[in-house]
Amino acid sequence: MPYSAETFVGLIPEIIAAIFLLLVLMVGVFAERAAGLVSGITALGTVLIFASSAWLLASGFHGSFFGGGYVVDGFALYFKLVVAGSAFFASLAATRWAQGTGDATEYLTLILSVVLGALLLVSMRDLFGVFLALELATIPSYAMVAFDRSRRESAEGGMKYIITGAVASSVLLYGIVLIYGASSSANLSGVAKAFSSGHASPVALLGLILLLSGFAFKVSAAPFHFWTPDAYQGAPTSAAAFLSVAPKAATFAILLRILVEGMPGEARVWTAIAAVLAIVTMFTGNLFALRQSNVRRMLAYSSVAHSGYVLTAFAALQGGAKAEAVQAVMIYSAAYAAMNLGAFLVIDLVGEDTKSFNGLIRTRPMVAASMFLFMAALVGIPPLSGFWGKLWIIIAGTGSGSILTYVTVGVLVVNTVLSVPYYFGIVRNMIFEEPVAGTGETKGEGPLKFSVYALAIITVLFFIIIIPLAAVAGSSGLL
Amino acid sequence: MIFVFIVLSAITLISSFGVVISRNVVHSALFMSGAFLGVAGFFAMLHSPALAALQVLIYVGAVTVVILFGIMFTQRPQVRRFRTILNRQVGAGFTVALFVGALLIYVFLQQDWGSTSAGHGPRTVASLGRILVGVSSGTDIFALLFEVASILLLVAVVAAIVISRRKTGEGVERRAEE
Repeated sequence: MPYSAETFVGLIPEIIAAIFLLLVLMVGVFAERAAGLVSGITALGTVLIFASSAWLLASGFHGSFFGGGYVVDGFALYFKLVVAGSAFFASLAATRWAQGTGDATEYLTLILSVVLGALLLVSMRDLFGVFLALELATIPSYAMVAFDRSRRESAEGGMKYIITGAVASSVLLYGIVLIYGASSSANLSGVAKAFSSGHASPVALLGLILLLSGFAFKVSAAPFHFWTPDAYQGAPTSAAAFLSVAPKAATFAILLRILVEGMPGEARVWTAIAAVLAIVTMFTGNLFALRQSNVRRMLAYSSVAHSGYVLTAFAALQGGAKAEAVQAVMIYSAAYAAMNLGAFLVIDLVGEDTKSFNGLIRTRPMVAASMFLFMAALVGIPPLSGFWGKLWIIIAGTGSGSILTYVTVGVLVVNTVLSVPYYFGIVRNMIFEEPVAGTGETKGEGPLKFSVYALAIITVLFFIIIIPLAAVAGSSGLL
Repeated sequence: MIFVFIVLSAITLISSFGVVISRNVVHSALFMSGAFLGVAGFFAMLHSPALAALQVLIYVGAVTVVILFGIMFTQRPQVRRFRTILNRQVGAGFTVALFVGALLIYVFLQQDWGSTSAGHGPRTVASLGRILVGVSSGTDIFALLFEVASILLLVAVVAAIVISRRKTGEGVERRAEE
């Protein structure tokens, strides 16, 4: 019997996610109009996933299962916490919208399946497992983007997302197959052997490039970002909020694992590719974000820019600062999750037109204060969450000893300045413009407001949270 | 051998091209079965008759037929035709395709293939089945992936229902509410 009890202990978060997925589906069948009930069950499920992952992390549980193809370590559990946490707030925030559509069951089932896919993804050490888990996280997200029947942009965004996503998946799969062919193993430790000599075969390198391109699509790095603004604009706001955070963090995590564990011998190649991608992505995201009048579209481009910031940490994965670079990705993911989720949820409360933020400080001061915090955090003003992520990336970058990485870090600093006008444009509107009618409170937004305030508090108190986070990230087990 | 390879490649490529450029969804689906058949031929060439048979059974037989059923049940005949299939981006698309094709050819010519040959690995249906459920040695991960795939299929059905219900379900639901 190859499966010990430990295997099932290691899979507890995933098993909980699968059980709650089926539970939500079944409850939805028998209680069709109980949107509040199913969102409550989903939120409970994410809490249990969070608690079980935290328990596994606290007890120091780690191990490698299924013949080394599935690993539970600090790194994986950390990202499981990020995914479960953002899913909790997203499912609370989805309550009101889901009640309005009458399809709460399907919507929450899709959220939970993205969660399950992301949980599995961060633990995979087998390239085929990576692909399957990534698809489990991606396929439901197509439907989430196209979910809003009342708006035409939703169908359009969904269509664009499906087509580019399918192309990205096939490019990624092609890369995986070439790597598998070159190393005759899909397991990362087997792959590492084929890449260890420092001069991998041309086919293996092509596989690496295709793999990176596929992942660049998934994390919306330029020039593979074209689906992002349309998909996030079309999607229901809670879906855009969730999809821009949880699957993205998990995708960055598994990309980091593949590169660090599977291809350390070719670090020179992929850090250079990551640096170029990061530079292009940061400029594209910020320069396009400057020109948007729709806040949701602006945040979509801002999320492209933030992918560039994280890729900078990937470029720093060389020289003497590897450990800091891994920590930077982990800390940035958590920081980004809190501030970006919060900013999107404020849009859900207020509206997606820039004008709807006018004079918000007078009509709804608490919401305006939260939005101010999220915007300041996205810029990276200390001591808010975004600052710590950027600080770690800069520390890692300066320790890397590579000129290209120094340039990338310089570009990051320049882009931080570039991003100030569009983030603070919202703040200016909130403070100085006259309020417009119809931005008052509406019914049933309690859970949504709770999420926004909770995320604002997390964003502010990040300088305290950073201490345990850095401790966990420092002993992640990767590297 | 090289002649068979060229014929199979031609079948696969021409059919795939037909899928993309034909203006009728049904024609696209039929072309797709041609592409699947070409791939089945490749499996046979690689001494894997079991995979070739599965490819024909599942892809040519089941998947194509299900797609055709799907088209017939969900759409009225007149919307089965696309109006413009080759749009403004055709030039850019061809440039990218040419670039990728050139890159692939270059890399495959550079690679030292050594003693690579067809005809290794498990061949029989029984051993393929054992790998699929993860009980043969070195493939334990597939036991987990088998379960993940089942959830993926369930979720894909939910997602497909969510997306497709918008067209037919929209009007029906409105009427029920009014």
